[in-house]
Amino acid sequence: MVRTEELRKVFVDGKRGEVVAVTGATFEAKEGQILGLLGKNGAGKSTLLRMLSTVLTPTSGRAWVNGIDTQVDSSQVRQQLGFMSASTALYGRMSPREIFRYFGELYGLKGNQLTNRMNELIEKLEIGPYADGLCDKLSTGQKQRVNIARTLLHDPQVLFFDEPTSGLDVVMSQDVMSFVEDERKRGKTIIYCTHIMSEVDRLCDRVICIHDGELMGQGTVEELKAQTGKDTLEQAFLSIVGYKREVLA
Amino acid sequence: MNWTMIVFKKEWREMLRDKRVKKAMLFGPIFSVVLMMMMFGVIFSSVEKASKTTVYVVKGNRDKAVTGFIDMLDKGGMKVIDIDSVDAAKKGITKGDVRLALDFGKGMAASLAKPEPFILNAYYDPQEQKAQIALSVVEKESGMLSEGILKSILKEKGVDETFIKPLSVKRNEVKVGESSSSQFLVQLLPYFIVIWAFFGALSSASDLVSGEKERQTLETLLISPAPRNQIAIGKLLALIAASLTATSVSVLAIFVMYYLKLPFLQKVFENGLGLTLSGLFVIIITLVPTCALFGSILLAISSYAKNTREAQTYLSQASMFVTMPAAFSQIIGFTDFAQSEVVYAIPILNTANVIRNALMGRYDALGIVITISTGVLIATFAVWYSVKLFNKETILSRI
Repeated sequence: MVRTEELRKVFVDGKRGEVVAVTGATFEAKEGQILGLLGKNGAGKSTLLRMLSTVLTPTSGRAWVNGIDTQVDSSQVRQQLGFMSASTALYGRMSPREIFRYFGELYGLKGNQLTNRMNELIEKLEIGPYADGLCDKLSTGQKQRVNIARTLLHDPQVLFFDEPTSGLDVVMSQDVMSFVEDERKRGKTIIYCTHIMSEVDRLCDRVICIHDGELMGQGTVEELKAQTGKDTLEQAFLSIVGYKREVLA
Repeated sequence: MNWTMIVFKKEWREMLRDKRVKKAMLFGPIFSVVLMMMMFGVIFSSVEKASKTTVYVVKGNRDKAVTGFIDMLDKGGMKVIDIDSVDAAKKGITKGDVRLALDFGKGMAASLAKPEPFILNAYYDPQEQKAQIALSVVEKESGMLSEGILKSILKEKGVDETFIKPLSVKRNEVKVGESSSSQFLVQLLPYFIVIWAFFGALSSASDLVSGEKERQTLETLLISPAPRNQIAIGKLLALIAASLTATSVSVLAIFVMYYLKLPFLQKVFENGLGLTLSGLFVIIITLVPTCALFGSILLAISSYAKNTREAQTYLSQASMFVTMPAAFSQIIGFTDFAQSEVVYAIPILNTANVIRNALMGRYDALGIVITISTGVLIATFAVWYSVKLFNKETILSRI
């Protein structure tokens, strides 16, 4: 489970002064559920995930991952997490198997336990044919499969996906979403950042709309539609973030 | 858990797979040392050959003295060829067929017997260095001949022949070190060893942190349970290993060149390698903190830079600060600084100077201690700064 209380992050920029990236973020993501973070580019989704994954320290507020305070035991928090983003590259001069071993060791897996887990994921994600080739030679889809395997390697209880289908073709996007659904079935707590409405519609049990760093509305897709009186999630989202155009009127 | 070693092993493996790093760490030092040795070997043997060059001698009266002189040149290795006239000899010099021509004129034997001054005309191109060398050989031979004649005249007149040189300087070499390399090695090797300690790790530095920022692999690494200071130290160890490897390869290349005993390198190694076990030990203990210093500076730059392009700009600027003191070590022997304790407090120059002294078989304990302490002190500061950068949020947000 992931829980936050009034999380706020302010960056100090030499030219722009104080920039509020996230403010007043209070929410809860439950086990066996996918919580969608829906917002346009630059809304603060990635900053929020980075605070939860302890890469960034909140300016104020608190967050707990599986009951562990992110600012008290950040190493333990990271041990519980799996993080995947479409923009995350792989080490080009290493093979998928070597990358799995590297990250497996970083997460404390050893010997047979690590080898078995690697083999299990290589089989499940059909990485076998290219598991020993260099990552530089892999296609975008193959790289994304390797990325998913790397994320799931230590079988984390909490998973963060930051626009994981960005830049992928339709088939690969479907595969990624299937893996996310599988992990939900396994009882994982999942936070899924995206700006693609169809993905939210398909995957998310609950949605939070984030705009200019503020959480503007939360609930199930149906609840958001009902709250705004709109027929589609897209219209509901635009209404929540205050997008003014005649078509919405 | 030892995250430092996990990160180090991964970085080292990646470095060894990178062609640019391999070139800088392995082939670069070998190539430059071999090239340098060959270049100077060729220069030295050319100088030697110049003293055994071909000389034209204008045909004319070949009396006993002229024949004797030509015999001396011949025994000295010069090839003497007869030429018809001075004009023909000058033409040969202009065309580059020969570098020196001698015209003995007439009556050399008679003049020397009287004795009265005799002029031997030498023709050469003053801009031609090999001609200057050949001329100096001829002048040396004529000087010896003159001295011989003078001695015999003095002897005939019952005067002690030592009066030829009422004042002379006797050279008495004082052995300072255990053993010494040739002057050439003493001047150049410290520069090469220090330079490769830096450049060996340079090519991998930009990739190590700023490259990870650019490829967005750093975030994944920072989200792992590994503490950031251990990640930083693991990366630092990889840079130090690259630095040590490159500098060791450059030293190894020198050893290999020495043991190959190539003919054209005889002059380069005329005093042997001049490196004793204690000298080697001093070089190693001085180089280790220097490599740590270079590694930590490179890591700090790579951590600070937003991307590889920015890192490469900073790294090229940093290389200037390393090259200059290292280059100064080549001429430090001509200055009073070589014996000054102040030099040992100047990073990089101090290492080069300790290596220079070790090659001369000299060990200044205080200097070595100051050099190591300075290196350790600055390396510690640079490591602290790198780790501090790693622990800052800007390690990611400066992208």
